[in-house]
Amino acid sequence: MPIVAEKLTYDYSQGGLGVTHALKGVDLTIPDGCVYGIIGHTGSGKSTLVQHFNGLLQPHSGRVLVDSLDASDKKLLPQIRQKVGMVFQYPEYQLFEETVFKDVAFGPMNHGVSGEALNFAVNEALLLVGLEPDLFASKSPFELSGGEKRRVALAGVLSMHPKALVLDEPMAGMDPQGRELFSQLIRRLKADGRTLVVVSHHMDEIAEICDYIAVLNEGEVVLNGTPSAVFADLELLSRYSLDAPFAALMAHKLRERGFRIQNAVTVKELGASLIAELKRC
Amino acid sequence: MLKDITLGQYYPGESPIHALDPRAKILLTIAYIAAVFVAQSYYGFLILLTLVLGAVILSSIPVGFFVKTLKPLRWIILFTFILNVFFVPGESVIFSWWIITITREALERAIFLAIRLVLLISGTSLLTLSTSPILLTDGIERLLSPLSRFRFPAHELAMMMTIALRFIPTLLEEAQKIMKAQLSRGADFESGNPVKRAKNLVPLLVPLFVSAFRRAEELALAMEARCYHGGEGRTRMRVLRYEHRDFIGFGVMAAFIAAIIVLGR
Repeated sequence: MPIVAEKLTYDYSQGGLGVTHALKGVDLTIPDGCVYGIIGHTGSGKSTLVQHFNGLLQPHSGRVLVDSLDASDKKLLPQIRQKVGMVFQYPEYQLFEETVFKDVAFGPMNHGVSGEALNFAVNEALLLVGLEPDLFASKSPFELSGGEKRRVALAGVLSMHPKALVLDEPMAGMDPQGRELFSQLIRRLKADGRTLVVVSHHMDEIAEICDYIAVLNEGEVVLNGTPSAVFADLELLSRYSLDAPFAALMAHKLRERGFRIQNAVTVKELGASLIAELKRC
Repeated sequence: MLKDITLGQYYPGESPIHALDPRAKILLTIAYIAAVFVAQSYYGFLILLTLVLGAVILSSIPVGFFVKTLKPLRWIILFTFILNVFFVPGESVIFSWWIITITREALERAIFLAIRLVLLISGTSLLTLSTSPILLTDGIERLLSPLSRFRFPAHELAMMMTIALRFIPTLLEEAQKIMKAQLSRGADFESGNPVKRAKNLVPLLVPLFVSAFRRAEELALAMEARCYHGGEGRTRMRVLRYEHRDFIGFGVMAAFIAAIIVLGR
């Protein structure tokens, strides 16, 4: 399910003290079934941009098309919010129900799912995030550990069966184990044919999981393409106050020292070209 | 939405009004409130209006911005106006239809009270507009501190106010975030009858309370880690001291009150 932004602009008013132009004419096409990374410095407009994808924010000019539906049409909003799931930073703070089951069921119930279908959707979502329904469904979400809470919150979005999923800094504050579990989940959702939009500060994570990346700077898309294309020019990245993934930095440094190493964005790629170079020597 | 609340907002500046000692400003505001009730004629109101306008101009807060902060209160003013017009008894009837009668006395009284309310609100909002919340609570604490001899918790009260004020924007932001998360899950905060709407607020209020308690606990820990133990023996970084301009302020206010007593009763 493609998401398209056309000449999108958005301004924040500062309560009588002027306005900030958060987005200045963003053109972006997120193709069906891919993992799309959005990176940028703090205040570059990433969060503002993705909040347009399910109509939480309305563009001041330009438009957003979700599966060819105009996201500024109020009548289409329930439909669009069912299609595009949104997981915010620290989603565990949205939990409110007495039991895990009820909380995960909140989304589908709002969209009119009930009875056996609801049971199925909740159990499926819980299994997807790696929580055993029999163990967790009747627990209170407030007695779970931090990691479990986050997974319940995520299940609360997945239970709506969104065709696209927007994840805003999904791995912030997660331990390595949680990160690994999470990137597995993303791969699984992708294999399932869903479109994923990931906003992150963590370049290694982005390089690892994304098919395409867009770089946002001061409300404009300044660079987009595959990870290897975007992370090729390290100087350009630093001009937008962005880091490069570890592997790209390493490859760059090795090349400076005279090794013939190809551009790499993931540790795997770097390893492959290192082995090739060592064999050649 | 929630961000448009400007009542009680601080407008940063470096005018003589901003520079006044917060204690002086609080005392002057109290004197001003008294003066609003002393004034019994339109003359008196004119004098008070001159005082407020003069202070606003001196504070270099844009008049447009100042008027905007009063806007949320227009309904209260309108409500009291209507209430007075219809329910104050009087003799000389100007309008009568069915059970509605409007008398000259009622109309006069309604206009009178409306003006009084506007003056009251504009004068007091000048205090919050020109004084930062921290200075304001500082001033309140110092003004109330003589009462601590009678075990009145002046410092604790001021600290509570400071913390409450500090967390208003944080909680508003948090509320907005949670609201967006629940909207994304298909929650509906806008339609339905009042009972249903109130019920629909549960997904917003529960997380908000949880996070408020979490923040309170974190803050208590952070304060204890920095050895906070209440007001006793606590020194301050900024010691309040009355300056010349504060006495000028008192003088001006005294002159205006005298004028009201003589001319405006």
